[in-house]
Amino acid sequence: MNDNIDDLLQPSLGSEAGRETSIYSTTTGYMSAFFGGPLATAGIALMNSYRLKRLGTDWPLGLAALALTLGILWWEVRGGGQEWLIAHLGRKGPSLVTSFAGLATFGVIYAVHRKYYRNMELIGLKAPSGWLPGIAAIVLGAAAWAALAKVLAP
Amino acid sequence: MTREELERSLLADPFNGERRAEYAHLLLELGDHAAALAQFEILVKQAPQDAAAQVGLARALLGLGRDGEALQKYVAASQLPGFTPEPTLEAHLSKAKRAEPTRLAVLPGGRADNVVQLAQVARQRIRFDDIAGLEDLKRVVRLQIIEPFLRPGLFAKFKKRAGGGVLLYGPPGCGKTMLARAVATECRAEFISVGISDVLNMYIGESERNLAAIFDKARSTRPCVLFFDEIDALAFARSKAHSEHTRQVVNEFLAQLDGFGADNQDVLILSATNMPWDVDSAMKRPGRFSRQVFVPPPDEAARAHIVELNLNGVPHEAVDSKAVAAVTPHFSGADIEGLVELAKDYVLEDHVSGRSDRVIGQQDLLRAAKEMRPSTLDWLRTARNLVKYAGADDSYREVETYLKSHKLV
Amino acid sequence: MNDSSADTPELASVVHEAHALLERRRFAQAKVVAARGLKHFPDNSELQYITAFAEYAEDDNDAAIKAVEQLLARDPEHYGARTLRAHLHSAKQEFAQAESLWIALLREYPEDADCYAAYADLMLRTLNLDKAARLAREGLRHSPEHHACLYVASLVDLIHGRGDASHLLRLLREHPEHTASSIALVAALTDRGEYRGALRLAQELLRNQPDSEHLVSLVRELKLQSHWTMLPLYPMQRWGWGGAAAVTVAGIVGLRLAGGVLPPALVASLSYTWLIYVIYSWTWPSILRKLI
Repeated sequence: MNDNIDDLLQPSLGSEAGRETSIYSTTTGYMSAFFGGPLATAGIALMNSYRLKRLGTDWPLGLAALALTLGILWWEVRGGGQEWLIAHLGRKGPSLVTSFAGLATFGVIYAVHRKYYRNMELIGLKAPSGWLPGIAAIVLGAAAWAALAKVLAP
Repeated sequence: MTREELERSLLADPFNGERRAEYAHLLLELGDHAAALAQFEILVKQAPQDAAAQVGLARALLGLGRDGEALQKYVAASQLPGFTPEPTLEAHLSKAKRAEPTRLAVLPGGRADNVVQLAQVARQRIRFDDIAGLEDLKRVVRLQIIEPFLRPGLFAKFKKRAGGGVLLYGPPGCGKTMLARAVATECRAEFISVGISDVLNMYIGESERNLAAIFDKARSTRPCVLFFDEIDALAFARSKAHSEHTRQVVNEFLAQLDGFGADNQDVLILSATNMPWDVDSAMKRPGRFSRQVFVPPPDEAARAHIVELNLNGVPHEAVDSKAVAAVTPHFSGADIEGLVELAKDYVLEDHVSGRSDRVIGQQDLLRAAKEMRPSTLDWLRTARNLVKYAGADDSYREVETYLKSHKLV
Repeated sequence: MNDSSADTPELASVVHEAHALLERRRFAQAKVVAARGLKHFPDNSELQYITAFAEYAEDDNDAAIKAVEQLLARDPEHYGARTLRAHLHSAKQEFAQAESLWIALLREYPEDADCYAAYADLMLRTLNLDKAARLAREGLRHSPEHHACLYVASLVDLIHGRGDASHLLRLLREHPEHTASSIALVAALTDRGEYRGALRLAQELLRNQPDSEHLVSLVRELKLQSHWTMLPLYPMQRWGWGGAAAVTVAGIVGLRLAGGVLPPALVASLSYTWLIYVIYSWTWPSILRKLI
């Protein structure tokens, strides 16, 4: 048996019996993004990476979401961004930017995890319920956003 | 267009009949008869009345050396509107040898080697009156099956097509076999019942020979009702079959039905199945089992009658069979028998345990009815899928009517 | 003990009859015939395998597991029993155990395309897409027109979405009558948003197998997707979350811009329309699913 086949015939699944491999759905991802911002959706993404056993590869996504959050908050809090947003987009301007940034972050996450989402969709695999992790991600993401804004405030 | 271009085009639009026909003819020209056959089969499935598709199918079969089947298809195509003769097939048809008469012989009253031992002709004559209820169905069967058989001249006078076989279908245990026997009695004909084990044989070619012998036996004892029970097993859809042997049995069956080389006059061919969707679609075409009759579960009157029949000769008190029938919707005849058996068990249990020496009562029957689940429900659920979701054609119209009248769809 | 299944005519005949019944999906009858045979030949592996297979086909996985494990205890090398056991592990979502069996079988039969296809399918079900692709390719190397390997390869192509339809084309060309071909084509049409075409094909599949719950679900879903009331929701249908996000952003930005340009009454109407549309997109598919 040549090396190529031998490599192919190595187990890929863990020894845990009954473990189902699936990830939280795109709905969970983008709803968390819209309501919780980049950190919320990054939280869901990293939970998915853990389920896919690729946390070691995907952790930079979390870092990128954090960097984006800090960048936006710095601009809003220290760079006059908040006033600009309110002037141009109304009172809801800053929260809209949080949502849009969240969606943009999810866009990047989707591009990275696309083949898994498509796999689940085409094979008809059922995603685990995203209610609890989604709500937790939104609450924690929004709380982190507010906390970081306070920290960065002059 | 090239082959690859046509394939891509069909991928984008798989229901484009013209494009598929173009592709199929191109494959014929390229000499890829097997691939052409597959494409023509799809075309015929999508448009069974398309004479050109049938002729194409025949050409592909001829190219594969399956001359007998090719001529069968060609003859079938010639009955369709828009048929245009094809020179090569016409030449083959004119040279075609008639099917050789079978070498097998059935000796009356005995058995010889290489002879198919068929089911004994039913000694007990079942009449229509013996079948409880189903008056509408009996009327349809009399008009569509029995009278054309008994008075072919009358029906020919009104240019009503006679001949061909009849497929009885419906849930299990609802009297299809009994109905077939009653038809034989009403037709004043012999009754030959054929099951799977009468035909299928492990040796190559033997199943086909058995089938041919069965038809010969029927022809030699006319007038005769030849009844194929569980026909879905004998004529299993070739598209679902895995083995070539299964397909060949179906091909032989089709040849016998078409009377290719023999005469099926005065042989009424009936069949029954619980799974009409597993029967090869070619079996349901004109000249074969083109008439399909739905045999529904017994109605309330029939169920009441079956209860009474089953209580005959069994110790019981006065029983309101109509009340029992009212609480047993969708029960088949076999289910009603089972219900009465269960009621007997309750009484016998009391006897054996010394609780009481009693007879079957109303309560026993009602209790049994509560404990039992009609065996027809799975079938009705499947039929519902067919009617509600699968966009089934007119062939299941009777089922749809039944399901709607019973609020099952 | 050497119990070749063709030792005696009677045994061979029983085995043949049982196989013929299995092929015709008469599983209960096949079990009866096998049971009759096992009375005379209690140690016959083939009859035991047929019994186990019939249980599996009737979705009685526990009975099938019991039967197949009894067989494997006597005849641990029985190929059919081992493949069936692997399928039963998958049915019970014991994917790691199923994988071990497929690997063991492939080490023994390194050219077996059926095993490559089954292992590849398992990898697809556990989101190991790249490995599924490699396994399907390896299976096709040994058996270039193997329908199951082509089917898995077609799905992998669809998942990647690179527009490569070569495996699907081969599947349709070589196995046009096979159910797997039609299912792969339904997936391809659905992926391209051609719901009506996919529905027609799925209905044809259902007409052939009306007792399949999977096909009923597929047809219901496609009926929903191709329903005329779903037209306003086409962006979400076609592009999933991307379409939803784009419509959301367009709505928000559009209303903001309209607020600065249009009369307040009109902006209010547009806002309510937008709100109704959002509620419609959230609630109507679930309602329609119950109605279909």
